[in-house]
Amino acid sequence: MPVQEQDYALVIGFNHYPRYGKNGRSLRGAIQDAKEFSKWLTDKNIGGGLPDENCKLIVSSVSTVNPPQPRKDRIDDCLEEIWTQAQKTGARRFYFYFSGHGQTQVDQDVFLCLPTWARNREAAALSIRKYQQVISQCIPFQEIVIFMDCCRSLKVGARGQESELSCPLPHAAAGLTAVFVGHATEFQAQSFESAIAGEGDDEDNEPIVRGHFSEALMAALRGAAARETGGVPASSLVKYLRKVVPRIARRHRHEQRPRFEPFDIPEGDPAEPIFGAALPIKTVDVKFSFKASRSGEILLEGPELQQIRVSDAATGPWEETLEPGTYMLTEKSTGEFMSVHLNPTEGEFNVEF
Amino acid sequence: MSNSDTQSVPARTFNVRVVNHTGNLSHDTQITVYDGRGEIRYEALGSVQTQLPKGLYTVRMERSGEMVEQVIRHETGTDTQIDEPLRQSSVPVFDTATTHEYYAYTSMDWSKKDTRPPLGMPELGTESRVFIFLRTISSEHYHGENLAEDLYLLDLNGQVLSDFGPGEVEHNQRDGWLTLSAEAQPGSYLLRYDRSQPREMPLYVFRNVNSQVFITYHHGLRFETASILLPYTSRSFEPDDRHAAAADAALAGLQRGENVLPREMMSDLLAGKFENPMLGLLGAHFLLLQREANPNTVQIVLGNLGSLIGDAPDVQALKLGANARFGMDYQVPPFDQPPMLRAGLELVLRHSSDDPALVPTGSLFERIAARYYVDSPWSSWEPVIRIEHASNDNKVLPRNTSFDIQETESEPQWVKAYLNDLARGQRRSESRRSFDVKQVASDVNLPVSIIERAYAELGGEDLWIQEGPGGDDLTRIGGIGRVFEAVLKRAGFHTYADLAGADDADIERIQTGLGRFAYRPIDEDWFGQARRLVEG
Repeated sequence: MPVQEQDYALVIGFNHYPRYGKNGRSLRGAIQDAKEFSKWLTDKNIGGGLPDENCKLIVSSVSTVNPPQPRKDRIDDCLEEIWTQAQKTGARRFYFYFSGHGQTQVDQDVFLCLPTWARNREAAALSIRKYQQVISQCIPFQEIVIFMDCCRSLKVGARGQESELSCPLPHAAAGLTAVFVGHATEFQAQSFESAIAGEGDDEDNEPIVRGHFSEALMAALRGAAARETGGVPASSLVKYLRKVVPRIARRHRHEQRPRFEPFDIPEGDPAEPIFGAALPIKTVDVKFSFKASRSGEILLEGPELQQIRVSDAATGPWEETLEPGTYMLTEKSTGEFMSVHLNPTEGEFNVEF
Repeated sequence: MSNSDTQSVPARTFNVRVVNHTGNLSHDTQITVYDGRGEIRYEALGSVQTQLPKGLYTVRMERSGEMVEQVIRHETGTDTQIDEPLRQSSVPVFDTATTHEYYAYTSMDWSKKDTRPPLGMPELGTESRVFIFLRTISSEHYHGENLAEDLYLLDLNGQVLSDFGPGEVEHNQRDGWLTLSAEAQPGSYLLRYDRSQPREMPLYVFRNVNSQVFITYHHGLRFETASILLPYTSRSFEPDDRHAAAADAALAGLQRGENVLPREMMSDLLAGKFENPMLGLLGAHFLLLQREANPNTVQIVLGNLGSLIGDAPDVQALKLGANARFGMDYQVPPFDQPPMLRAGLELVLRHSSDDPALVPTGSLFERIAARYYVDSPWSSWEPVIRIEHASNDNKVLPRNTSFDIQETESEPQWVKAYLNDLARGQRRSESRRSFDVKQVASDVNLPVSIIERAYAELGGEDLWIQEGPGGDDLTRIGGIGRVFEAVLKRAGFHTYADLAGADDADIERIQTGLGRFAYRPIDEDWFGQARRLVEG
């Protein structure tokens, strides 16, 4: 993956909302999600290939003496730095990622809440449309890619601020900027986060919490939605997220369906934007274990109903390396069965039957 | 086996029908069939009839915001029927996951029986009813609460028509439901809930129509889950009425901006063949949302609605929408009361900045315009009247007690915060824009009168002359004191640069503002001084 000198990113993750609601409503996974995305962006092998200095990561913090940080100025300052730098290097693609609380009033806009958001500070939010407008009119990026892992809850009086940046005239190619927007959820709906597998094994022994959308997004970009020749076409990314985000949400008893405003470029068109250079994940490691009540022969079948393994339950757990796809386990004596979707993601799957 | 290998495998019949509780095809279920490798193989509504090679297929079914998946082992051929995903709803119709027979049949039974004497004076020769059904999620969720505590039915004068007390309602303490059912005088009513997050919502009673309200109780009444149906009084509530189910599902769709009315019902609507006014209202809203709606169809639907429920605010709101969308010329009178559907309420507000007479000052509609909730397809709002309880230790009002209706003390905080932000932004801006009440009203979808009042509460023009970041201290210019500085900033001259760049028209405007001191800017060379301050 060549270094993408002309690609830039502004990545925002806010966990801290001490004044959101009566007792505050902080998130647990937004910062980590932003860091993961930022890590992918600056990955020179399979990721976005951005020079480290081209990727601005902004996360929230609180202290006992200061109001919650950052304020809007910090975001505008970072954007201005990007603008200044892009004037020197040229501007190809701009990534904007936000994970935090979001609100809306109309389906064309999302108000991204700042950590200072409170009932009496309802304007402490960024209007994504106004920001998008400034970026597309002032900085000559060819492509703008926006991912928002936040709610789109409707709220009377909600509003978002515009950037302080402005330019007297749009740049010459402003009307030609291709824009891709990925919403974690439908208009007027919530997006969720949950503790994921691997809970409790980080250094602080805290659960690892991820937004459902970001979890699927990162898996897709790391190869789950990659084409054979490497990289993730925008259309494949959309298909993968549409398929997987509702499943992840369902696993946690949530309802969440992502929505997209895709590039106006047909699937497979040579001009279709490709994200990163990850190769498809061809195999996944799975450990099948069996409940004590299982007995006799267990049949494992693959996506085309091919027999993978038939063995006595007592031989479990089974450790298998399999192609991603849908699999079915059947207890022959009772006919009881269970299906499992093995998504092409890194790490080991644990399946109990 | 690789993907390419599957192409050589002979295809077998793969038929899947998604059915509703009556066994009929579920036309509003979106089906997506994924093969074992996760690729989409088929997409359709209601049923799939295709040929697919053997394998494991995942059938995803999406309906009314709910999604379920089922993996099918497709070997020698598949011909199967799957139940549609069940919605959540307060209405105990049989296509929801939250319907139980003890709610469904109870509603059917009580929707035609009286729990109390008539509300008001029912019209002779007609029958109009109100049926309000409160229920928990299931009997297991009921813990002996009075479901209707702090709930009132009011008329528009604030008169308490019912406090849902004993003798007015039927309350089942085993299964957790409470109902009020009575004949009612056609007209406008308010349902008022006075708990931790107080709310009001309008309820209209039409001639020969049964206004049926269903609300779920879960740690208090959840007004956002309310659903209203409007069947003819000749019919009781029917838990398997497909029109009731469709209207209820469509309400949730309207909240998401998604038309989920089954196609055949939409076709009935387009042909004007509907008898359920709620379906008509919902269908008309969907038509207005469609990119390529046919104005003649809208006219037919509105005509039919008019004959069913007359000039109800909801119908008038739709006419307003039709005027704007298709240039029709319906005469729409002012709205004293808001429509029941929030989509209608917002339609009116959207047009009120251009036509302030639409929402009369002091009307109920105007008073709730900045206080309505958006978590429901229904209009509901933070109450604008204060309850005067009969005594401090008796929270339940006696019958026929009137509320003390008071003008609210001030406009909501969010409106004032918006104006403050706007003023701050303009003070900082180099451009000198004047405060355009109409434009602001249009931006925030509120009547002009509310903006004017909030503006006045904030001190009117003083809002624009406060020292803001970027505003200069004009008193550094010889001859300008605090009074003249206020005059200048009110006129839009906030910085030295503003004054330095003043042209002849600007100078004339300043002189006019200074009245008998009009000579001083020139005599004291304010503009030259400003230029020198700019140049440092």
